[in-house]
Amino acid sequence: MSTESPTQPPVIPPPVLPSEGEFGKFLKNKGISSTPLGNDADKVEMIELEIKDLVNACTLLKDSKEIDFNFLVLLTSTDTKKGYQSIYTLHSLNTKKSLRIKVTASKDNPTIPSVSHIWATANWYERESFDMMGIVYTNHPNLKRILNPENWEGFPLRKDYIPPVDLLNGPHPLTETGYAEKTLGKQTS
Amino acid sequence: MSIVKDTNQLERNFKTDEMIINMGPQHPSTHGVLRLILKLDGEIVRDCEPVIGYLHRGMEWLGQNRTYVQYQALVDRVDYLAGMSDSHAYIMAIEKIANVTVPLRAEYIRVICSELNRIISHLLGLGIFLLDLGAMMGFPFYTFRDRESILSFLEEVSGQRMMFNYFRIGGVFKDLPKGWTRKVKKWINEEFFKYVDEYEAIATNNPIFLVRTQNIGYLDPKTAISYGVTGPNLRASGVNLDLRKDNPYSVYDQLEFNVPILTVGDTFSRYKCRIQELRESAKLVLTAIDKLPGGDTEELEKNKVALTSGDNPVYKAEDLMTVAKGKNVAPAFKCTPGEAYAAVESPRGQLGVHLIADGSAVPYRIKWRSPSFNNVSILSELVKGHPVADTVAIFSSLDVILPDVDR
Repeated sequence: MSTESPTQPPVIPPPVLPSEGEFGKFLKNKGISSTPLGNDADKVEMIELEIKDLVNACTLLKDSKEIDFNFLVLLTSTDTKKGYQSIYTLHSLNTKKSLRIKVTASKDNPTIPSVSHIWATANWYERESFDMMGIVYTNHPNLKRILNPENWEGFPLRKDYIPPVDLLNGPHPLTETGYAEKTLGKQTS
Repeated sequence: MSIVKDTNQLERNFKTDEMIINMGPQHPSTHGVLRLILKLDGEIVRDCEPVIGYLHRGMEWLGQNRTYVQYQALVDRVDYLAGMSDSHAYIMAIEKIANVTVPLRAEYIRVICSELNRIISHLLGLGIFLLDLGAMMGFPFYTFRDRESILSFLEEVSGQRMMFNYFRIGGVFKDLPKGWTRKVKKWINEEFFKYVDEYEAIATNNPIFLVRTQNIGYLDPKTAISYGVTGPNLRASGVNLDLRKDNPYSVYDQLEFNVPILTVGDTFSRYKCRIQELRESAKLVLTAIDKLPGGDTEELEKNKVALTSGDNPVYKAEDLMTVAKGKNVAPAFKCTPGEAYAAVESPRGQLGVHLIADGSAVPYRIKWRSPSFNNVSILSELVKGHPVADTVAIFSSLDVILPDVDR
């Protein structure tokens, strides 16, 4: 795994530091600190959390009666300068409000706790995120590749990924066995 | 002296072994290539694991290695039955970040095309559903016949039957053909509503169809929300979630329409929900055509000056364009840096694009939230305790498109 930084920074930070939003304040009251990242193009609040706070914060946000984020719209991942980022877009079907949580894991050891016990949607999304970005979700019930072949080499959506030169005539990805398991074993141990 | 003393005891000790059966990937009822690993006890499914990825084309990787404009032509392939919805979500995400306002007429054209697209998608879904249940008696042929009419309407508009590539950043590719709206209105009023009644006459009260679909594959609202199921599958379980109403994008807030909500949540109600959506979408197309700014292209050409000039013009000149003024993007269009999640209500549910732009001509990150991905993940919950034959019915009622799952 390379620690090379991507060629371009993903998001240019806004000049003015964004202030704390509604959900950032809620989490602060419960004793969880978060970094406000401002709003996206849709005025959806974005916050960044520490890895250790993620499961706690998600449980609080889902179980709270007034916030009630019962719907995990999307779990995606991206490759930033700091590390591999996992992005959670939450939505409430009752209050119709949304929140985006970002969690960054270091490139040397990209492990993030799984939230699949909170939202069942996360089960497959985390598998996809592992498949594409190589983020290892701890405590996931069944973390293995989902879209690529089980023995695919590398994680395709990382910015330093080099695709196979000739997919049709080159060595078949299935000929080398157990690549994903080996990678997984290396990273979790 | 008989060897078997107690036949009842024999029955009690009789055990069927569980076995693992592989279904697919090349199975005619899997709508593409889906592999199901079934754990069977006799004929009852005890567990099921869907294995996906056979149609993975790397849509996200392709998007991150092409310019915004190049990628437009590819997005229709994500969900090949709802190309208009795919384009709409992708274009809307760019427009949100780049802050582009779309002309009113272009928005109405988008809505009309998206709703026609919804009808053809549901028609194919319903036809295939009955085909999977063994109904070769004509229903699929009827739906495919009527689908063909709409395909030719959309071909006139975009030049393509299925991979439309019609929406552009800031509007649509070109205006509607002359006399097109009259033709569509006539077809819907005189033929389409009659056809939907025909479908219902064939299927909805058919006793064999009812036995195969009623009371199987219950999807309770809480599980559905937890698994992120959206679209008609969720609305058939009684959850009122439709982005066209909840978070109105485009001009859906200016149009009146109903969203059918059913309460039972079994396989039959998912079918019923789609049948009702056919009628609602057709009505929505009629409403949108009536409210289309400038009317048909023929009338628009005649009345354009009258509509936009004078002291109190009916429309501003920008409203009647097909692409926003000065927004005819260059091939190397550079999106301003930002992040947006744009979602539309596709025929299968909430179809979204999460786009991170870094100011260059190539997207930094594109993530597709495809509704089928979530809809197929619930399959293992639904089929438990049902016979293998019902697995086919339940899976088919979810109306999953495998290229949309695998992207």
